[in-house]
Amino acid sequence: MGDAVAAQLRRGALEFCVLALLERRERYGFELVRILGSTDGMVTSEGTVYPLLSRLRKSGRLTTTWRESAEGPPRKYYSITDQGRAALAAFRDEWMRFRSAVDALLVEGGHP
Amino acid sequence: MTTATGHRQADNYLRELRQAARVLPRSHRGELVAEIQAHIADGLAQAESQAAVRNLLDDLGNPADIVRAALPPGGAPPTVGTLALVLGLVGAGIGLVPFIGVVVAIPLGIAAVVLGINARRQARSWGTPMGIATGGVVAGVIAMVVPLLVVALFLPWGSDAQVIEADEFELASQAPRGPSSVAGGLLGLEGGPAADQVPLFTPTKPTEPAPAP
Repeated sequence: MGDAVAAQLRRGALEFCVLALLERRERYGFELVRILGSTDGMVTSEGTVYPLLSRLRKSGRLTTTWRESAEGPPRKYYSITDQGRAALAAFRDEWMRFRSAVDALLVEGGHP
Repeated sequence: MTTATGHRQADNYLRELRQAARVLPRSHRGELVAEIQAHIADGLAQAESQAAVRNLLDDLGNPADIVRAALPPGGAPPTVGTLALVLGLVGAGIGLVPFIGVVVAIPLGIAAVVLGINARRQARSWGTPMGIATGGVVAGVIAMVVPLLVVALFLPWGSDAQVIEADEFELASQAPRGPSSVAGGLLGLEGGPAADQVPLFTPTKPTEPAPAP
């Protein structure tokens, strides 16, 4: 039950958390996925983030660049696009408003 | 394409992923496998123990879940179990037709067994119906066995050459030593042990062109 609710909430928010992680700087897959994986309740199977990254790239919200790595083979770095920033800004507004509304109902039980 | 990561568990994981990813379009498949492979390589570079490798793979999650996340919305993998079942049943039906059955039903049966085994594997990782997959395998085996049974039943009565041989064997073992006209006739044609009773082919008396002493 708790799992199902968490999964529902995650489904809508995860892609914007990915965009938020890329807002300040680019990151390579392993790095990005480990941060999400170590954030409580964000991702249950880290591997499922990769299909999401692929979808975000295809929809133009992020882009990839190969960069040489000191330790091994070249790494694929993800960075946010202007389109991604716009989507993130819109979600942020929506989320703040939604969160306030839910908080008001949950905490105060809808009673003024 | 080989991917020796140097770790047996990691290699097994990638093999499993590649197997599960077969349902994806080719372009998606290559990208997904490459990403996970790079992730594992990065993780292995930091992993200091077998337990750390195990954790890395556990955190990645079940390969089937990853592939499921890569499917287009609503795009479940095609189920081959039903196809296996249909092929197997059709094969078993055609297998009832003597001789043609062997040629047609056995290949159908083999196809059904192969597809059925694949469908069973798919059922384990995707939750597609296991019963249908198993039915496909069973129907495939039946499709292979039925034509052989039918041929085995039809052979002795189906061709003339076989009839004579079969009857001959029966009669030869049952017939008394005396000259039974039927048995003698049949056996005589074959030049069998009773050939002396039918002097048509083998002369019973040695011809002696020996000159008088």
